[in-house]
Amino acid sequence: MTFFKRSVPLQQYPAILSLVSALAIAAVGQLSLVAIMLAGLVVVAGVVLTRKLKVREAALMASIETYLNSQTQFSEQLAPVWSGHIEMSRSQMASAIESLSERFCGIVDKLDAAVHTSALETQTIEDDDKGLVAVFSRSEQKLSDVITEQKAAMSGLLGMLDKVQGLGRFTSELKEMAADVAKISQQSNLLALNAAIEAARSGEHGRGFAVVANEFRVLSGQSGETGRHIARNVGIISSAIVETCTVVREAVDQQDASLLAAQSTIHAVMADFQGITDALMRSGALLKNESIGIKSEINDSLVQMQFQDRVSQIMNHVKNNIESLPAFMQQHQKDYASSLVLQPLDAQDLLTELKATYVMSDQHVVHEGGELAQKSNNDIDFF
Amino acid sequence: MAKTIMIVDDSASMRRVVGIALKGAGYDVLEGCDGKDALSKLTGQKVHMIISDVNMPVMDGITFLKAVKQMAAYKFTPVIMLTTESEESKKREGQAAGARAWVVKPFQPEQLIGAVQRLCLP
Repeated sequence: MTFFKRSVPLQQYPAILSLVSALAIAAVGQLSLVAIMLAGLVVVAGVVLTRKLKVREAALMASIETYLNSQTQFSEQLAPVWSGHIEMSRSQMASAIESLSERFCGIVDKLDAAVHTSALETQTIEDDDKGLVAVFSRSEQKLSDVITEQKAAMSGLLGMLDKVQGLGRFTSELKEMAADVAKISQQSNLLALNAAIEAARSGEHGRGFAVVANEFRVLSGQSGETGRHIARNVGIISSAIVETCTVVREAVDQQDASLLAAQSTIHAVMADFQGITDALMRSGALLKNESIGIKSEINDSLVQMQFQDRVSQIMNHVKNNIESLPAFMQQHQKDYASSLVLQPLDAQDLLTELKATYVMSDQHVVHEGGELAQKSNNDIDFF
Repeated sequence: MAKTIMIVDDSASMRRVVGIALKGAGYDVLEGCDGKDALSKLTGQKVHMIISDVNMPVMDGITFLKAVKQMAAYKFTPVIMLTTESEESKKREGQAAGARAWVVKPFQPEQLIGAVQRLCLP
């Protein structure tokens, strides 16, 4: 609705018309009494109508002022609230994203530390000299050496047993030799007896020979005794050798069995240890890989948080535009007061002001009512 | 010894995002929350590159860039502008002020690291 400012106010029109009409009636009635009375009535009617129109226009002006004032108040009341909510949302989002990014960074740092520690642990396990694998390998070698030494010691023991058993053969020979000595003693004793008989038959001439024969018989008796003594000692030695061989054989058998058991136990323990080491290495590698994977995911998530910067700027632009609405409405009211011409509200000024703040091509697209295209990676301009 | 890169952005989360990308690539990071704050932290130490936002409170990125180019110690330090601003006129303004590259957010870390490796001082 537009009200034009006229040279003659609208409320004056009935008065002017009634005056012109009265003059016309008076002229037509040739200033007769009836014509004058009629002209007077028309003038009175015109004045009454003019006063009524003045009252109505004043009421209309007041309602327009009230309307414009209410529009300004409307914007003054709404704009700060809208702006406040936008600012609060922007601020809360910025704060939340900041906090979130801080926590994510903390997680990334911790994962870095975990990966680093895991790498050190794996290095410790795999280290050529001090690593668990190296220690395991050395331990296995040392235990294997112990078993080998034990086997060598047992082999020596078996060699000794063979030699002792070899001695048994000599004891048999010694027994035979003792028997031979006893047999020779008997024969020489018989020979000495025959010699003594012959010496007696020879009388005086055989006396000396008798002495020799007697001594020979004494010697053969001593030889026989020596032979028996040898046979007894050989028997004792032979028994001792047999007993020794039995004891050594039992010891060798026991040692052999315990060696086999030790070897088996060592292999079992080393196999368990190897299993633990392998599992440790596998879990270490898994932990490392998972940590790297999680870190990568978090980094990607952090990259996605860049939206906050863009959204924050857009919200800021809209907020500032909303905040300028009350001033715009006040100006509209002032314009009417100074011109008494009620102009329609034009959003173009506010939209132009908003457009001037845009920094992203997307904002221009939205402003023109277009549709946003699927976002691809932005290129980098090198200068 | 790792090279040092200064990140200037009023958004703490953006500084973190850029910082993580750079640290992941083996760089040390120095931060400034606006142009003025960043200038106060440029005290003569070796800075191999500066990555700066454009729209910041207190001192904007273009003003900061011009100020850096006036400092003898940092006259030849390459500056990458990392911003949501995609207007060609702004890019030309940055180029005239001495920027070596213009990266529009959101960026991909590998893209940014590629640009850093290409322009970073030895």
